Amino acid sequence: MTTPSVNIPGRFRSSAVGKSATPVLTWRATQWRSKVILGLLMLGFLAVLVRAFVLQLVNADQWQSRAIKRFERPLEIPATRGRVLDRHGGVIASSVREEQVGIVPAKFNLSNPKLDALAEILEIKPAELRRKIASQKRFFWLSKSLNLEQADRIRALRLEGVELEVDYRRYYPYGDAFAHVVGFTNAAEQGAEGLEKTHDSGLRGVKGQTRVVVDRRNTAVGQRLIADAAPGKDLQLSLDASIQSISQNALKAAMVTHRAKAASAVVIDVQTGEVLALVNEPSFDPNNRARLNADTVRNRAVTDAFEPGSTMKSFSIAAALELGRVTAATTIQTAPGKLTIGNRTIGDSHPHGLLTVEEILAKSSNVGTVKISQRMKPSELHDFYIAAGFGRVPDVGLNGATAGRLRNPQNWVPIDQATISYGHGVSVSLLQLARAYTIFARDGDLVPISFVPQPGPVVGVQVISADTARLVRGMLERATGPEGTAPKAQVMGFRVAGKTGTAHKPERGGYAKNKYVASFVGFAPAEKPRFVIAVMVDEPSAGRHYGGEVAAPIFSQIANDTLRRMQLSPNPALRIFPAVALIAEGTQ
Amino acid sequence: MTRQQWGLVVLITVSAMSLVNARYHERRLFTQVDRTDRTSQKLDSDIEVLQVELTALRNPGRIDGAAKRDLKMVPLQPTEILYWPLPTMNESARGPK
Repeated sequence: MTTPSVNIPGRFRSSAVGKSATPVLTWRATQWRSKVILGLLMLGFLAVLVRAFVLQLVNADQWQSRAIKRFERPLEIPATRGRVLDRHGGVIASSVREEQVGIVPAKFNLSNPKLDALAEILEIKPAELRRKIASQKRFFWLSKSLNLEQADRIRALRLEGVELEVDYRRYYPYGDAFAHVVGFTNAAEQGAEGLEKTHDSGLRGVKGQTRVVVDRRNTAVGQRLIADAAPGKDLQLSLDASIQSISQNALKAAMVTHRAKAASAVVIDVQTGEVLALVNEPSFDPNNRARLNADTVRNRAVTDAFEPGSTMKSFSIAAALELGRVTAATTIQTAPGKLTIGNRTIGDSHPHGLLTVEEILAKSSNVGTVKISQRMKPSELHDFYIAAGFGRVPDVGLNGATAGRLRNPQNWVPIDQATISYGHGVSVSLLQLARAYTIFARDGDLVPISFVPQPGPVVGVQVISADTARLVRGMLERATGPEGTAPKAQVMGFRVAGKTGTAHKPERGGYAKNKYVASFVGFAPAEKPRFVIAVMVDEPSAGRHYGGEVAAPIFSQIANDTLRRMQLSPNPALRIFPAVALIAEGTQ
Repeated sequence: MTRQQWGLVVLITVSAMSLVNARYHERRLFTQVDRTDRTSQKLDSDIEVLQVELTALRNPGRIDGAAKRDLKMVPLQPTEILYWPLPTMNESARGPK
């Protein structure tokens, strides 16, 4: 019997043929190879087991977190910015949740039939939208903000190349009324100006974070809250929307009447030092800030210093009274209405003759005030001004507040003391001036001023005695009487007190001939003051420029409307006689 | 297979189906919660918008301007007296129309 030949390829061929060519022998020859393969398989399984052990037990946390990351998307929860409210809870500033729509032109198909629906939701013409998208190459935001319902409708269209993002928009419903004091926020919802800026940390709130679990198609199927968002706190201000509006209306009318460059008014509550109103004209609408300039944005009442003129005489005379250098009845000769100090001559508008201290303030005599101030040392007058809050930045929580200008008394020459006593060569802000007058409206103490409501009456720093304050109060009331400089400051049915100021504007190292600042600071009711009102009109150019003619009527209007708004009863001693009897409709 | 093994297979199958069902419900509920959250946000946003609009409408400056401009009203001075007729006895008895 012959052994059949087996054709075995490769290197086994010779040995198989050489030793034995039977299938059994062939199997034996490859048995070791099977064992090797089996061993490799076993090793493979072992490797899988080891790997599984490592994954499941040794580095489990790391791998688990990686797996979670793969199916979770971090999402920021925006924090709503707090509202700004007036003292009665009226909304001055509020953030509204909206959405912005962005377009990726490269992904957007302009021939998509849903484009018309998108244009309809966006309230623009389809052709215009198509042109807008075609003209852009990179991602861009469509400027229009959408409410959440519109955003959902766009989302439902499932358009490729359209992206939506949550956005908050700040609204200021009072428009330009509170613009300077409240300020505004920037595009990132951060305070950029005014109280929005100084109270930014409290208003802003803290953003939260969540992790959204998504499936393979990137659809959210669950979420894990990491930290909830903490909304910003509301900021309640001491400002009163009604008094603010009253002040703004009065200033707007005066700006037109006197063709003025600018005007400001401040109303302060005498008992608490709260600012009830602070208005500047011209103003701006914080909802529409496309064309802002520094002139309109500036909070003049706080950041601008001006020479106050005769409104400072009250302080010179109060200092002399407090130091005992004069009494209310002391007489001073002001004739012939001129006084020469060194090579400079100071004059009154017209000669008054022999005047008492009370009459000097009522008639606003420069010569009389200078003669009173000469009874004090420069340092005494300077220290009194400092005590009244001039020459230092008021702590009001508003950026850019000016300290004004009050030079060191060591550098004063006699003419400096003379001019500074009647408000020239010294500069103050309207807010400083209004605050300083609370000394006379109260019993001689200077209260801190605040833009947030105070829980009750506050106690200030005593500057003059209550008796001196009462004396000056009486003098200031006389200044608004028929023989004073400001009869136009009177309010029917109420007693008021105050002082006018008229000053040339400084220009190129000297004074401009035809540019004035007219001011008036006063309080009402004079017998028990409730508020101080300070008014400043910059460059009135309609013929009249005296404080008594320009600023005093504004004070009168603001005081009149505010007294009635506060529902204060008229003084029964001031009887009002009817001049006109109107007949109402339907009266027989 | 024994009866016990069959029982185990059925138990595992039911358990697996319950798990799938629970996951389905979880996702459905999440969608509902998400939708409700969205509605809540919309309502909050609407309330805020309405409050802003209300404040803008009752702005004293706007009302004052509208009274003077549109209604030709003028502020009443303390020296002016406005006489207003009181309703007669018969009108009072009839009550409001």
